[in-house]
Amino acid sequence: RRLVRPLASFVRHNMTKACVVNAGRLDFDGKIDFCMLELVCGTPVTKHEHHSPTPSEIAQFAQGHTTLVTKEVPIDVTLLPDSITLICEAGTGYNNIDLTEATKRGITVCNVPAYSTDAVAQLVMTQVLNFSCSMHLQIHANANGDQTLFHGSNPFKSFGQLAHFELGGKTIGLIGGSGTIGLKTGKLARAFGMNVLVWSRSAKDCGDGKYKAASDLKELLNNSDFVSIHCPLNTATAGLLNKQTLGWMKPTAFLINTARGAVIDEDDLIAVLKNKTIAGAAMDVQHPEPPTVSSPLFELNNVIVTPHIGWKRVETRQRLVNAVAENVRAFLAGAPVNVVNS
Amino acid sequence: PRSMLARRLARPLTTLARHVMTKAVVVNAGRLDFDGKLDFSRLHEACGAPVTRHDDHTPSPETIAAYAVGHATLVTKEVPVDVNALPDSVRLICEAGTGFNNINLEDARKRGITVCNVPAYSTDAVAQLVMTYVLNFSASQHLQQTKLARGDRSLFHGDEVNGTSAFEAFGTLPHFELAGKTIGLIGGTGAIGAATARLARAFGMDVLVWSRSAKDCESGTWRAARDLKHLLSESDFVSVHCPLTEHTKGLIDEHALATMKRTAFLINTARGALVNETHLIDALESKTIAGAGLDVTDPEPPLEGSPLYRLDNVVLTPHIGWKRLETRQRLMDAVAANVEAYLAGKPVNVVS
Repeated sequence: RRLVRPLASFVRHNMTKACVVNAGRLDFDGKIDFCMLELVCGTPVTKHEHHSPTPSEIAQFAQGHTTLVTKEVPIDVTLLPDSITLICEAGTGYNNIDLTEATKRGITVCNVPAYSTDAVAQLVMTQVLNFSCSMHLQIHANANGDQTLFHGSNPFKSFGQLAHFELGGKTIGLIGGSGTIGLKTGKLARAFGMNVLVWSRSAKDCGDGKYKAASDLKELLNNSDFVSIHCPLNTATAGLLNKQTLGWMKPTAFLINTARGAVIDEDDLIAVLKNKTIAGAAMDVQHPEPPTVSSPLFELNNVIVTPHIGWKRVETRQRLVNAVAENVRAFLAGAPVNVVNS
Repeated sequence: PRSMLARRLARPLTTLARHVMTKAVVVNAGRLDFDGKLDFSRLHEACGAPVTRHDDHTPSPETIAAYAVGHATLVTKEVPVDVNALPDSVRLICEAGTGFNNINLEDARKRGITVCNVPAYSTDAVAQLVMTYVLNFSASQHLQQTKLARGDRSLFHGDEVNGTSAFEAFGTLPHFELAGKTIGLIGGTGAIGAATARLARAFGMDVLVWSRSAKDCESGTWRAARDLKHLLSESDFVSVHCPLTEHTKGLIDEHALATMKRTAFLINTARGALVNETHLIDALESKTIAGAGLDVTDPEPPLEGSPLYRLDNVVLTPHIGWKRLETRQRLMDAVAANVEAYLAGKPVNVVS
């Protein structure tokens, strides 16, 4: 593989001793190929099989290494050894790393801004389609041997109780949907004949009619049959969907969250679902994650909950690891990319 | 809905000159309008006389014949009709659907009864259902939601008994992106197959089609398979889109299933008997294929003890492909249009 690569890469003088602190999360099925990362680093990469090491464990793992590769675990930057010059978050969200602290210590922090675009957009459409034909309720019934829809006294009438509609002409509202994942989701939704409404600080009406910009959150929520969240988690977006704003949604509408759990006030959401203020919710992210053992999210009838699978497809993770390798290569070449601190 | 009178007044003058009316009976409105949400006004208008509605969902052929007395037009959905038992008054049978295998066309011809169907009303609905199965399988939603329904939360909290983490538990489930995967459409050159192909391509899938009339589509929307074997061996998803005839019955048998990839999924939204169900159950139990999404079965519904209900790699739905509200309304309106055309002396969608 080294011989096959262009000659220029041989001239590289820099190497880096890298440590993947939680390969047990990134490569939970052992199917990911780390060779690009190994090649770029120029020396073997240390991999720890943990999925959620503590900040002090991470600091220990970091001893003797110059690059840290981490996925979705809190890092205490103050504990890291001086040898660390680069932290690669293997993912898009980096809210688990104190950037100010990293900058103070001269540590570059990179993320991978777009690797799960298709995967997440597909997941959103999966749940849109599931809600449109109540497939989750049917799978649930079948799982428990409930054959009412097949052999009940009137299977047709029983089926009539379930939501079942075509997507053509329905509206999906994308909150913060002008980023890559939002745009891809909008594109897929249009393939099904849906109308796309977007609310985002940077949204403008798309001239060729591909989507309409809502003037505010209320307008989006009032008019959408499906509401999907596509914004990062920050002080402006935490708890954006709460009792008041959820009340602006149609009672027949469904909420989908593949972004970050805390964008929704979860207690308010649970109350709203119990009251049937909205028709249902699909949550790939929760707050906390995973939900506690006693969380009502597991019990509510019209909730589809998944264990943050948006990034977990095998191709998605491979693309992610290769992108991390590319971030390392660019850093070593003196022209870092995807830097999130300055 | 506006009153019949108001609607008549609103229609162009020519229709007021129509002399022909028909006394119609919907023999199983309990199937067609199971939720009471359909608007029958176009049918009322087309018939020019009140339409009789029976709320049965599956009347017997004898019951249907009794309901038909005093009526000239029968509207029926997916129930066997004994044409020879019908009274002489019946001139028109409108199948409210695409498949008409439950009406003996030979008998109808002999009695001078016209039989119409509605060839394309569920196109989008069925294509959406196929993609629903495809997307669910690609994200193991059938397995995940089944676990949760049974109180198994190991994908969230790990399994203390086996000492596996949530991540390790998840690693046992197939979970892949659709881009570059292949969907094979058997008989896929009809409206539903084409709509399915278009949606699949929106997800970056490759589309392979096998049909007696398939040609390589020049725009690149799909490739034509050399033969069924080629389609089966290359596809990650196999979806059936052909009508049930004596030639296609049992098309998907043990040989076909063995030719499919072990990681592939079968989807049937067409007719149950296109698949040899015994062979399919064997293939699913032995994991010869990865799973099946079945909206149609033979018989329908499956018998109470059928393994199809308990197999984890099966997603079973009670023939919902045509049941969406908009789909059924479109169907009702199309039946009304068939009646109008027949009464105007220019019948359309005639299958007899």
